[in-house]
Amino acid sequence: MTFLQAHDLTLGYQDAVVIDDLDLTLPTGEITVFVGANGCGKSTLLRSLARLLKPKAGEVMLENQSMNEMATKDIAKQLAILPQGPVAPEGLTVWQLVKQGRYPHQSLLQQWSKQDEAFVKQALKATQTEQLADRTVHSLSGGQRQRVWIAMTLAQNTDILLLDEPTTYLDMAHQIEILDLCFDLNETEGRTVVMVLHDLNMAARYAHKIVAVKDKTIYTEGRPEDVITSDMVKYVFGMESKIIDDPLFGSPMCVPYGKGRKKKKPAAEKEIAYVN
Amino acid sequence: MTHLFSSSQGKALGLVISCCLLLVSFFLSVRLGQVSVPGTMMIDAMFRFDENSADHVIIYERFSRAVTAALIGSSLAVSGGLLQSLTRNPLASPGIFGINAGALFFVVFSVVFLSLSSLPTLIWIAFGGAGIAAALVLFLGLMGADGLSPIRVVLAGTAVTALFTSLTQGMLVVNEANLDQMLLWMAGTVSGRTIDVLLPVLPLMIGALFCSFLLAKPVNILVSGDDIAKGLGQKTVVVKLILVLIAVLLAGGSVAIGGMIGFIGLIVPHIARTLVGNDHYWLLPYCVSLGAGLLILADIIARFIISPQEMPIGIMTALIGAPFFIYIARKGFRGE
Repeated sequence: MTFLQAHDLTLGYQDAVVIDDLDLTLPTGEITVFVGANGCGKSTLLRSLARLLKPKAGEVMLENQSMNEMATKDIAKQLAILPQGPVAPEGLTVWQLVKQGRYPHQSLLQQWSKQDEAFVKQALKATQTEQLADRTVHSLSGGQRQRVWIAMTLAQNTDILLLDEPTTYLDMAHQIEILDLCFDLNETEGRTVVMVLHDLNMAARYAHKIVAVKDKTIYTEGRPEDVITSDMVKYVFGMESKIIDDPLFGSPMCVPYGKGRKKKKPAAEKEIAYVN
Repeated sequence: MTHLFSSSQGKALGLVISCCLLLVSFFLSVRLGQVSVPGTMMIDAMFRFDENSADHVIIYERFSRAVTAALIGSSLAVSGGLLQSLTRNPLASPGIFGINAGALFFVVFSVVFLSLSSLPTLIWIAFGGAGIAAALVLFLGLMGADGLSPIRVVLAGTAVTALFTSLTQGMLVVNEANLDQMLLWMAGTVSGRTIDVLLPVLPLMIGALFCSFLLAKPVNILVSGDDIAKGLGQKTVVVKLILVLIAVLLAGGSVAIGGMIGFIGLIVPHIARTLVGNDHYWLLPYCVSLGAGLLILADIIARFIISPQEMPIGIMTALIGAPFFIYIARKGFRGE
């Protein structure tokens, strides 16, 4: 099983430092979710773990080797990344897109093989997109499209899968569909999944480990049950909330305070008093 | 969007048909003109060339001309197709790298100040000028933290084009005597380019065409975006640099030989995309056959449209291309 670690990682664009001297070990064979406020650097962190962004200082270790010293193609055989909001070229079919996942395994001499074909079919099956194979990516719904992109990263056949906000812009049903897919990939195939998610409650439900990013570094990390508290939410997101148990899964569930229409109930009035 | 040819068999068949059309137009190009030559004479000229026979000389000239048109047409189309994919901009054409303006500037400079006039020399000067302009644009495009940014390339290209064009115009205003000489070159032409003149540039351009086919797979990945391509283990900067180099070789060679022939590099890739989609395995061969065929046809029409004079081919392609360009622009903007 491939191991992913960050040592003394400093990241940024031009002169701005976004992540400062961060250390992180990602548990193998588990689902890790990065959470944090907009612009806190969680996507930047994910991108750098996938060598899409070169660190200003420090290094990312894959297995026991620094990524700086590895050939990008060799990294692509062990780690797949789905960036935020990918756009497929017009007219590209699902089959063609998923096929691209085999790119790192091919070379000028080693072209398309039976094995490549098998991995593509398996990826389509795992994401339940076999029947979409001949459709163009553009003709699909948002949820289907995201599934197809995930299929492409699956075809890469890597132990580690990094997903940057895979559920953004999807409706609630499609969000669950994508997250269930990630759950299955981890549960049945034992893949290490690392995601950036905006929805704290979904993160709590699916993640083995939560990493909360704040002030250019990790504020806290650990099991959702241990990490998600109203103090943490207040510090990381700057928002008052009440943490209750998810009635279905028992995982922590964050209910934010704020304005809004309320049903008149004695209990609800007590809450207003608390806010004021 | 669905394409005319969606299956592999359909695409292969389409390619065979377009190659057949190319051959027919090539044949017509040799045959038709102010003097029509019979087909038997063409076979005769091919196997027993007699330089004292007027017909044979005409055939040789027209043959050279058709080869020139085919080479330029296919090169411009492939160059345009690659640059459209690189910049993800459907309105990109070889001109965006300042290639045409750079070539023209150096040619006019050589004619005005160095009094050079031999065609083979000017071809190399134009080639060099195209390269210098492209290098300048590329340098400006690379001058950022995020590597080669398409938008910066387009802006730099526009600026470099404006710079070289105004300098050229300045020189021509001061030296009106040379204006006539340059006018045909500016309007684009494929006549008077015999095979011997082409010979030095030919291997470079044909080599670049073959290399472009080797790029098909990496470019297919690259058009999904930099992050996707990098994530799949592609060295995107290397691929982009090779792509630009090939596009510049092709377009620079074309402008060196034929002057300003516009619109082929813009519209042919679009026609090819409507036929076979964005898969560069198919797109590039289609660009070659359609680009060559279209420019040969334009050349044939140019011979007759204002007979007995000939219309410069650059004007011909603009007449065909401009309405098409407007159509693409409207369709493109609505599509986005």
